[in-house]
Amino acid sequence: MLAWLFPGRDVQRIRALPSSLLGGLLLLLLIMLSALLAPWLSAHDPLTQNLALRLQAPSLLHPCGTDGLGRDVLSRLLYGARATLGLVTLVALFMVPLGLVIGITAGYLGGWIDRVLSALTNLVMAFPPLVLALAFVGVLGPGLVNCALAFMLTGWPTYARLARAQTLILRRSEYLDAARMQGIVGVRLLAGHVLPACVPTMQVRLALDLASIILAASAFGFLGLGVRQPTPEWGSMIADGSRVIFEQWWLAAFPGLLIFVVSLAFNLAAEGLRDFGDSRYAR
Amino acid sequence: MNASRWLAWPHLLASAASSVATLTGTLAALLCVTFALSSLSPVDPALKLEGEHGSAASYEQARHRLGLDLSWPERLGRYATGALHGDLGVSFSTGAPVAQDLRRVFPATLELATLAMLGSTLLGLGLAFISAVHPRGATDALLRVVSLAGNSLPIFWLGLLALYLFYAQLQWLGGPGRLDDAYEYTIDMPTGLVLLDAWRSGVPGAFTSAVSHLVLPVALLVAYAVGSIARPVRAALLAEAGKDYVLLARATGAGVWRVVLLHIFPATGSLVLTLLALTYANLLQGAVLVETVFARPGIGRYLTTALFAGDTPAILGGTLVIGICFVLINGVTDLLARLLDPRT
Amino acid sequence: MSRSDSSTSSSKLAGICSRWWATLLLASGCLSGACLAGPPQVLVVAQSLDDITSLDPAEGYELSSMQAFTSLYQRLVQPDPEHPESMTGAGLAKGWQAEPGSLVFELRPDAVFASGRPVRPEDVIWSLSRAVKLNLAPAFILNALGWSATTVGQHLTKLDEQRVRITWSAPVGPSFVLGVLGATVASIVDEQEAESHAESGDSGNRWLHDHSAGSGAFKIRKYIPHEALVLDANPLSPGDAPRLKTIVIRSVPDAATRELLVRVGDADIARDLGPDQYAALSDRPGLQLRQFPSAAVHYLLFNTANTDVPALSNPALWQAARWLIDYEGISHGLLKDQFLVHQGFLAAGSPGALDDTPYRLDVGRARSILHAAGLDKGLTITLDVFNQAPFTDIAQSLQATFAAAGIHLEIRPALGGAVYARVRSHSVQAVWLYWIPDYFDAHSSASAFALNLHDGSTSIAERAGWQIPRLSDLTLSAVREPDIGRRLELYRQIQTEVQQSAPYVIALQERSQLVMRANIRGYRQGLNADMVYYDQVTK
Repeated sequence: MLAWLFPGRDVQRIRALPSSLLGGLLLLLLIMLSALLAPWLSAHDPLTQNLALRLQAPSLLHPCGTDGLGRDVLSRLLYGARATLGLVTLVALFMVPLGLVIGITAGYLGGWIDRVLSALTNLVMAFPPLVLALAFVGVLGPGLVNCALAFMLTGWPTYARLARAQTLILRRSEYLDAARMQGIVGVRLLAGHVLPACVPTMQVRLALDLASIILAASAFGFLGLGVRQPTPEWGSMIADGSRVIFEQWWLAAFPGLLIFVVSLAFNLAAEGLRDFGDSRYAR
Repeated sequence: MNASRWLAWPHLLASAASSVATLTGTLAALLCVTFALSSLSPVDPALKLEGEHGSAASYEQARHRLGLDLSWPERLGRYATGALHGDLGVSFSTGAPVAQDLRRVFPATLELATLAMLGSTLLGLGLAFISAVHPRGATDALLRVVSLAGNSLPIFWLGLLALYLFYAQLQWLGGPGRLDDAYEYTIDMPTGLVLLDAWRSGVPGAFTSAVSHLVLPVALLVAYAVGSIARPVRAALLAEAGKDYVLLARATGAGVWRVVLLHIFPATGSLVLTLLALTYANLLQGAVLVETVFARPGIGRYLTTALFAGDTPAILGGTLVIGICFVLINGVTDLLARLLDPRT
Repeated sequence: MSRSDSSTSSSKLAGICSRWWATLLLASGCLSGACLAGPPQVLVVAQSLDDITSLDPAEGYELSSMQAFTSLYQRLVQPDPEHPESMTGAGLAKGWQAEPGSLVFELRPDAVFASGRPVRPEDVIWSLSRAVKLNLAPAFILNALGWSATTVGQHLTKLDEQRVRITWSAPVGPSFVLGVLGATVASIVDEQEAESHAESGDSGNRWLHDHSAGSGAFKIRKYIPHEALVLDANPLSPGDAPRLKTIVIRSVPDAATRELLVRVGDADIARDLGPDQYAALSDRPGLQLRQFPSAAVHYLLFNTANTDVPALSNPALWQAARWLIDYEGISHGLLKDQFLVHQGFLAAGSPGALDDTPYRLDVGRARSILHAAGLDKGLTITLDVFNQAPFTDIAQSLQATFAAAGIHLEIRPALGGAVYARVRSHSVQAVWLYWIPDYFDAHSSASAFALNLHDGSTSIAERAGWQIPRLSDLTLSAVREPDIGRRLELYRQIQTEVQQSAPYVIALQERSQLVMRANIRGYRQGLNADMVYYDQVTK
């Protein structure tokens, strides 16, 4: 796979992985493990309410405090990782490939295909995701899946436009001409040469967007469309915590911090991958 | 411009005309889709107006008044004909013509988004250049984390904390709203752009008040957007940096900054333009949380309130305005990209 | 060369930035310091105005608009802020005479509108008939008198320059009529002023949307939807002219921002803060916390006609539910006394309210009731709630306590409009709602909770599918009853029956909590949604 990602590179030399890549991947692994092992790692049940102990500050018993219904915040964070990471993975897996395909096709083929696809991209981009989310709420009922669907269907234009811009830059470089002269045409050309060149910008953008998706889900929660109670989810926890932000700052701070850490991890990994490719590239 | 470009004028005109056609087509499609989807929304605007206790008769009357008893093609047709004459209908929830509402709220968002755009472009490009010049150093790492913070932390949380710190505790800056109360309801706002109106009103202190109330929202939006400019640009610059022509330039003794600014950056020009366009479009639509926390009028908040009230004319009007902006931004970007490099 | 270049340019940039920043801070520091005290003659209120649809009293029917009407308009009769059980003396009518089937009102001779024109019987007749004819949201209140668009003209007669006769065709008593005429929809509007701005026969509806033409203590200077409502004192208002010159009601959608505004002093009053925010502000200097009983009651409703869950029609379930709500835990613990436990449909403080609260959380008793009825095999019921605080919190508490008795409540949060739509279409299984009386008379709540006429009219009993021919008759006789003491006794009976056998459980009553700056005096607020009085406020 690495050979496919960075064609023509000497794969055996992939020993010196950049530290950022290592760091990022390690962090991600840690978080995913915590999510998977949540039932064993959390000392309390994330759903058990205890109205007598609501809004407690962080203590030995509850290292991250308790929320408005007396539930342990740390346990909710661990379980919430599942919902949050699941949401993000689902959205990313759909958005990016779709955007890439449309963007590269539009950029490479040009002409009226480009026009049509660009118009479609504009159309979807101009569309407020909230309208779509509400429509889904009407049809499917409330829940996080509506946010996921709304983001999936309205998030790909960004990637399409970026892919298209990158493809256009490539078109005028000699790189593609050289490949074509070697007899590589059609899909093989697109997949083997154009696609990898788009990857750096995509990676970086995706890594940034992942945090945005979580935060957008949180915004939906803030506006009243969030996850179905009592399921824990980081974004909704932030939205709930903002109600008492001045006195019980920890309710919004901990999930916010976690989102930052996850985002950092994704970005480190993405840039590590890019730097890794670059150190090969620059040879 | 050389002679060959002059000869291309008719061709350019033709492509401009087809662009206009595409634009109209896109907007029409946008309207249809928005209309269809908002009718799927679970909110019943007639019920919202008449309230829970209203009689069946007044409910039916409300449905008739809002035109909800017509079939949806009829309603769409009615709306479209009205829109062509500049009549965007009357909002269900404010009772005022939608065009009037939009004229009030859109300039506010435009102002906020444009200022944030300027700030994040300057800051973002600056950070990206510094990173590209000193890659993989401590500065680079710090800048990467900093540019990430704004994007990864919840903006309403940051907003509330910023208000708490700078407005409530330190009292350095103005708080929610666009102006202090002393000016807010006394000066006229003919353009809707608070900076311009405050300046032209001549009321002493109004302009400073407007600026003071803008600092925090704009700073927040800049923090939010700077990462999405700085990081991809850094990635693109570094990707270009490995190329031969760069090595050549460095080998001939050009300074690093010179190489970055004059050689690498122009090569990534169209990519950067696309990024800026995306960020601007994002800011226009995404300022809703900042508008809510800072109690400022804006199209994001208008659209959100309309969605929750099932207020179809307002939803359509808001989407139309945002749609026009997006299409214009993308069109201008494409044009600029083509001008920058006519081979694309 | 490159390193020194970058460091000089970046330090230059830093220099420019810091200079600009310092100037800005200086300028705004001066400014915000000066404005912190707030102008002495202006009251600034921070609340959310997003619910207002119109400021025409014949159309506006939301909390914020109704509050405004009390300051802008007067009605023939209205509750006296100091003695809310009595309607005497506070309205445009100097007095009235009850004759069988009619009431004759005598207007105050000195009553004038803000425009300077005197209040005439023609204005009264015009205002009331237009409210019925426009048939907008609050018109149903006047319809309860038997008035319809075609017949209302016959019921309103001018007797002379000071007196109006009002009759009605519905079988109701005069105290009920007084209650209806005290609702905001019966506000008296300046006919000549409004008609001069009428468009295509709408009797001024479009203009009154954002202007006022009344005789209240204030008039509208400016209304910007979703942003602000600015009221100026009406110097011609009755009694003492309002003490303050201007009221600015700012629309601030976020509760945390409202809290900041009142802490800093840029707002004098902040409404609708969460219970935790309110509790946290209790010992801050410079602020005072005020609590006013509110007429909003919260209840859990079971849709007995829902066929998906047959148990919903079993009275044993309703009985068990009465013992499965953690009344004390929710009101004291969860919601920090923003609610009080109340189990009758007339809010505490209203005439005829039932103050006993026989039910409390008793899971054991609930389980035995369910067991005796054979419902203890595990039930799953969906619970619809509004997707915002405090409803989601209440729902989660219910989920926990019902689970202890083997009933799984699946919470379905949704937007307000969506919940009401589902209730109206009888698609809900269980739902948590709140009720605010439409006018200041017991029949408003009784006709909702204890009346099911099967004639197409809607009520809470109808929404729950509760068949109550005998109780409905009792309710109808109570509204006809001319003797006030006997009437109140009847309502106590009706409330007890609802409390003990209805498919709804009335659990909590809201308290309206406000945070004010310590220097604010004279603010009054009553039980009903519209009873907000700014006229005696001083700073």
